[in-house]
Amino acid sequence: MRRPSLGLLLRIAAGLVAAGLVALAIHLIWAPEEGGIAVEWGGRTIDFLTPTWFYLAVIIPFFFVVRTQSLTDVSVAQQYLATVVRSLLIVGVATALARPVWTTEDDKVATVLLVDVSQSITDQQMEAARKYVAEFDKARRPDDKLYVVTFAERPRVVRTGDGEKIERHDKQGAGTNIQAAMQLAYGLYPDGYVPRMVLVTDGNQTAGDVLVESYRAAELGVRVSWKTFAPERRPEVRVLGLSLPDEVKVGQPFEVKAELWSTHDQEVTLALTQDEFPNAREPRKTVKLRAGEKTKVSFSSEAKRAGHTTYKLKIAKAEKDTEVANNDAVMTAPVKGRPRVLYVEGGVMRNPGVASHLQRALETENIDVEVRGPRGLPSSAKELEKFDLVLLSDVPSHFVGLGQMAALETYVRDLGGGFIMAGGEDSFGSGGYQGTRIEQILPVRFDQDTIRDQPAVALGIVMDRSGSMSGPKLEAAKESARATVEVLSPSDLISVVVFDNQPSTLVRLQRASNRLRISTDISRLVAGGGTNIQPALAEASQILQSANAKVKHVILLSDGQAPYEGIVDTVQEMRAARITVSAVGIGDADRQLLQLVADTGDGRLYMTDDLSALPRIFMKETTETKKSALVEDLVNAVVVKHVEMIEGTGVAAAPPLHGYVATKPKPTAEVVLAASRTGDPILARWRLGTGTSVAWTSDVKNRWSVDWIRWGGYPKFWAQVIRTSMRRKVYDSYDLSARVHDGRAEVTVDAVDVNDRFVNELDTTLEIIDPASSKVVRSVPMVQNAAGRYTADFAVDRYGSYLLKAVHKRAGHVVAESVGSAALPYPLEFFYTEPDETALRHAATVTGGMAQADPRRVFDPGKEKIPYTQDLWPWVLLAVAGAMVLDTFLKRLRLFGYRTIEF
Amino acid sequence: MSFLLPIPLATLGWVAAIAGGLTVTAYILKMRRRRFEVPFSTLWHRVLREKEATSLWKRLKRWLSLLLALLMLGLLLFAALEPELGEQDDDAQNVVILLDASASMKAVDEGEDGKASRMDAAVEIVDDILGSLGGGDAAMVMRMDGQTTPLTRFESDMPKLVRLVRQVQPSDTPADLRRALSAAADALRDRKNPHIILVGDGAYDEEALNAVVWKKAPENRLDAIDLGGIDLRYVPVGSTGENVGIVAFNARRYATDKTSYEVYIEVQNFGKKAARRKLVLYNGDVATDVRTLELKPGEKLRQIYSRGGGEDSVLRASLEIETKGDGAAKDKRDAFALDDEAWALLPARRKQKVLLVTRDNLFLEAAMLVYDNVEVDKLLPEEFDQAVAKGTLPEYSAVVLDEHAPANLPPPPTGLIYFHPSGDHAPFKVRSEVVNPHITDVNEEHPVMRWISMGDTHFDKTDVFEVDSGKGQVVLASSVRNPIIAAMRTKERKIVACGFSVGGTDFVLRVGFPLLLVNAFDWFAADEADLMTTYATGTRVRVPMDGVVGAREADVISPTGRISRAPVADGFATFYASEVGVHRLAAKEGDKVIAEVKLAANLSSPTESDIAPSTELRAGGEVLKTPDAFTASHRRSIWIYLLLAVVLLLCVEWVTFNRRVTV
Repeated sequence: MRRPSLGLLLRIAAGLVAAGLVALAIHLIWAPEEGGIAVEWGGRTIDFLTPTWFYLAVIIPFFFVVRTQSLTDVSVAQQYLATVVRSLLIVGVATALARPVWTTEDDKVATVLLVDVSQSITDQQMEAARKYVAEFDKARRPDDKLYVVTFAERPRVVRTGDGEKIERHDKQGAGTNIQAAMQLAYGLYPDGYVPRMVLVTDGNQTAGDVLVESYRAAELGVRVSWKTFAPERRPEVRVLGLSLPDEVKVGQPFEVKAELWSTHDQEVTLALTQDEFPNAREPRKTVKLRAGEKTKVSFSSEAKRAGHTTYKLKIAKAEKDTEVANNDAVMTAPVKGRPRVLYVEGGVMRNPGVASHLQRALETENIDVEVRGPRGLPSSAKELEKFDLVLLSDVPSHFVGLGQMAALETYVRDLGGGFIMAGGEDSFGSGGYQGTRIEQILPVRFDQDTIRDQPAVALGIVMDRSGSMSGPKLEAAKESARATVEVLSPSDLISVVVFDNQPSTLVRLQRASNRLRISTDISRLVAGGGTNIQPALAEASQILQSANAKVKHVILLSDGQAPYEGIVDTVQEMRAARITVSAVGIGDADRQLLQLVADTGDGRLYMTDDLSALPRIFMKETTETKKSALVEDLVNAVVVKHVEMIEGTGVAAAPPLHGYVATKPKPTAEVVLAASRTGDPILARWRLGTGTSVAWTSDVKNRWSVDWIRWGGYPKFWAQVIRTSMRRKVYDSYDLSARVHDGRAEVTVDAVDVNDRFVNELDTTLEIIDPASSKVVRSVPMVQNAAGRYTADFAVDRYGSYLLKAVHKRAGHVVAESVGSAALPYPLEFFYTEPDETALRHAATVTGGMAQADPRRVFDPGKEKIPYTQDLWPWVLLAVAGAMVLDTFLKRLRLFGYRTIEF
Repeated sequence: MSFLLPIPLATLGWVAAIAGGLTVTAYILKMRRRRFEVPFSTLWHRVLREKEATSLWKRLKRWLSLLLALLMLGLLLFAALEPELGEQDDDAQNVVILLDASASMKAVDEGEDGKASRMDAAVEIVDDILGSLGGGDAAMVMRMDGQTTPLTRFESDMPKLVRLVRQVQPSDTPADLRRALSAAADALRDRKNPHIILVGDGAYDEEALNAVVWKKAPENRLDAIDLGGIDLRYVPVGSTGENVGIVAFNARRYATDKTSYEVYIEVQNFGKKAARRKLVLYNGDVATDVRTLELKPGEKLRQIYSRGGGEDSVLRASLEIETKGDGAAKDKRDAFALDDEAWALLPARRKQKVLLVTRDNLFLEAAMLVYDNVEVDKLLPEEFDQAVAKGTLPEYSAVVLDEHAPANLPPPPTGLIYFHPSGDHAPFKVRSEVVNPHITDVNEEHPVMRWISMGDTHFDKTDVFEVDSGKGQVVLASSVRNPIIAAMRTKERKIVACGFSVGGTDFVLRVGFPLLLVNAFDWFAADEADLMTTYATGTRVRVPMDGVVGAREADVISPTGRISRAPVADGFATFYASEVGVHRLAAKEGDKVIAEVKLAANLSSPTESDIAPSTELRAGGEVLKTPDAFTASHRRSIWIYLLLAVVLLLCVEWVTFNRRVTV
């Protein structure tokens, strides 16, 4: 093999360098790797889409290197010419590969038919649409293109060429979005075709906006034509909407307005339900509808409860109707104003009907009353917050725990709640509330120094100090004894007898005023020994018999088992001596024995495991014994102060009361009514923190108020007392408006105060409440975007109504609330029965399209041409083919003489 | 195999025939023998021997050469037919690329120097994605901002797509991801191997992302975006989150004190560093307030200015970077400049001169006194007629005609309110009279009847008008289809007419009566009491066009001077702003502008201003992955391969020809 000569190697090296230079030149001039390049040619711009192919020109030096080794005998000039032509071939192919394009014009037409297959289109219209599409297929020229999109809620491309038919969409018929279909259609037009669009629809949209989209279509150069098919004239009646006043108040009649529409003159029967029950005032109505006209119908209604109320209107009977899905409408309204009162009545355990007098009276005055038994007082302020006022009537203190009392205080003092304590045997001091928080929050004190002529009490406490009482039990017992002393008037007498197997007198009979000494004596008590009650009772009996007191009473406290022997006799003897006996059992005390003692002793039995309740039991028992606070006599309530609370109630002419609990007003209390003879407060009130606390010392039942219940002013009097004492409207309320549009609810609150100033910088949350469950289903923040304006929007994810509540906070505290509602009762698709051509006509005008489009005319481009990007590479290839012929001739024909080949 | 035939087959046929014919001709022509210079005669034998030995080979060489030339020509012309192989590949992907072109894509934080926009970076990414697709794959690129627009149909011609993608510019609107995902899913329905690739900065509405469902959506859920069976991927763009922007700016007039207004500005620091900005408020070109704001990371500051006076002017709020110490920063805007400026408009406010034409009606006079923006003059009907006839009547914005319907009216655009008009010159034809009517319907949507309740109003009797809605007449209140109050807007002026006499109703004693007059005056002056003239870009709003009747379109002149059109229906224009700044809406009748409204559009989107890119995006509870490399499917179009073969042959044939292997 011949070794390559040095000359050849040099030429190859030079060729490589030249190739490098070519690449560098291309890079410097065009930098094709950075994207498309454009050149001007003949006044037109030619873009190269893949210009990196120009680097193919690096091959060119190769031809020149090969030429140096040529064995052909054509002249060198011809050789160079042939090399240049060969290089041009490469440049030509590289140019073709670089994808040159330019913008040119054509008049071929591509038409997209958008065919509505939603529920509002009848089968007959569907069939007509299929035929119409077939006409288009026939009308198009060979170069034209036809695409079909069917749409309901969402669009879908139909491949008619594959035999796919125009069918309804599965489970998607209850909506029409022409705009979405148009947007999909834009993506179907091939380059170089005049774009045409034909809407085959009834023009009824439930989402999107064909008119707005037509402006975009016009910008994109798409002419939008349309075609509707007249439906067979189906009789139809539908509910267009249901509206309620912005503000509905409890008990205030208002109008529920419905709007209906019918294709024919006809009579329809409407049924209105309120919260699933027939609307009480007007449950049904028959109205005459006129063909093609909107008819407004009003129903009178009234909301019974605060919160919200949901109305549903249904066309119950129509002579001529086809689609039933559009026969309903639903709307929820927030209901303001009806106060909620929690009425805790101690007497319901003895007589369940006892609370009904006040309850009925208040409900006739549009006040919601929830009656609960003595244990029904909530133990948290949050639970109490649901009520505007709490009325505690005749509930003994041992039913009201310390936590409940604290909650009540917080409710009144901090949350602005109203509190009324109504009298009775078990209220105020006689209910055992002396010294409690309840006494602190009420405007009256419970001590009875005004009633000194009442008989004094001699009280004997007989306490178990057996071994089993050691520890907390004994301490609780001591505390109870001390508390008892506190409750007694100074002139009352007390003695404490303790027992194990044997009784001993711990506190000799003495006045209760010796509190310190008595307390010291009680402190000495220690536990130990067995349990024998009878001797202790006998000793107590003996002590009390010698006492000079009108009422004599023994309280027996025990925690264990004791012999029965002799007990009944002893207690019977005590009763004979007008000494009554009550029994208190703690822990495993012998209930049967204690019951026997209490029954025989004409007293009460208390059994408890709760040691902390013990002092209150003792206090209650003591107060019960005293009964000194109860004034059971005919007494007139005299107006002491004319205040709004009683204004116009006619209370001055009210019948007398049959009794009350004697109390004393606190210095800052406002006594409104007082007892005629004694001047004791009957109705007193004061402000406590942000709330109001009221004492009604008589009762609200048929014992002391028996004549009042019959009095005509009773409901009004109590409604007014409650309305003036209940929680004031703490929160402001601002206007809330909501509308449902295109699947979204847009909510706006305008916060403007009474002085017409905008309320800014509120931290506002919109609570979306499901009226069915009253639960907050979602919370979305409301954004302030203008002075006093707060907005939010959310996707409506189901049909029905929503209650909306905007809670406005500042520094973490609620300062205002706004309520409103929004509804999307049924798919809007069922709202329409007639084609709506308004928007379609406008769309055609805007875009230059045709009404009731004729297929042949749609495919006629007229003078319209579409600029489009045309590929030039095939034409470049034709040029290269020409050059290739030249290349062949340069090889085959001798042009410039010979080159002598040397051997 | 099929052919796309980019040039007509006949043309190609002619070219093939001519070129082929010429090529064959070139080989038929006999070339003169090569000349050899032979140094001495003995070598002649060698030449002659060589000639004898190669004569057969020489003939073959010529045939080979001709075949090569025809092959190259054939390949070239075959390529020009653009042949395609077989049917669609089953493995081929159908990809919709959602290219975020929303406002936040204008943020400048990309590239090595951090000076390239996110849009440029996103375009590069899309370019790469398109480049990685196989020849059989098809892609559609959709531009996503407040609207969604497909740039093409499904294309396999990636270079063409790249060219279109490079032309995409971001708008001033927030991204509407819900619409974009729905449109992409629509386009991919029934296509094989569907993918959506979202290229953007992740500044999207959480609600839309949460609405995505991967399996069949429950039927009763209306807001679901069904992406069942579709592979959704996300490619994040952007690098910085440091931005301080104006998220709200507008002016709102008080409802009763219409001469005063409140300007509301909200500025938020979306970055993780504390920022210091100078907030300048301009009225027109005059800076009226300058404040320096210190914002902690994430902090939102509200500025509320309560102002009086100033009308029909443009307010502009501008945020500039302020550095402590030596002078201001060179670049006064941050990485996202679009939200550093915002506009608001102060509505025009004029004191209204009203003429009361009455025979001393105290109710009317008293009702007008409640409105402090009105100056009232009074004339007797005769005096009024004379003044009009003589042309001496001063210019009034409104005339209230009590029991008087004159033939001569003051020149337009003076608005007219009639009470109990009668005779030939009444604005509405009187159809009948009703006694003791109850108002059953009030057109609350009309500005004149806003906040007016007429439920228990008593009228002794009233005239009933004939109202023709085709002539721009509307019923404002009626008693069981009997129009009692009506309004109309002619080309020149607006008119309100009440069929009842002021003396024959207790309506004049109610709050609604002065309100009716006030509302009518405001309507005449196109002074919408609570009209907000500032909107967010990318939202579609209905703007009242001063109660125009008949106009179906309005020209919208954007801040950059671009003119587009907006539909008008029932006196409301549907307005969509894609640019930040002050827009003008003009409803025309012929060439005459019959109503004009100015509106300000601001970005006002904290989601969009929060430019911190989301490197991770969750949709329908799943984290979106970045796209894998696509498995290259077969290229169906083979013209490129054909041309490469031609290049190869050209090289080979050049060597063989020069070395005399072929001739």
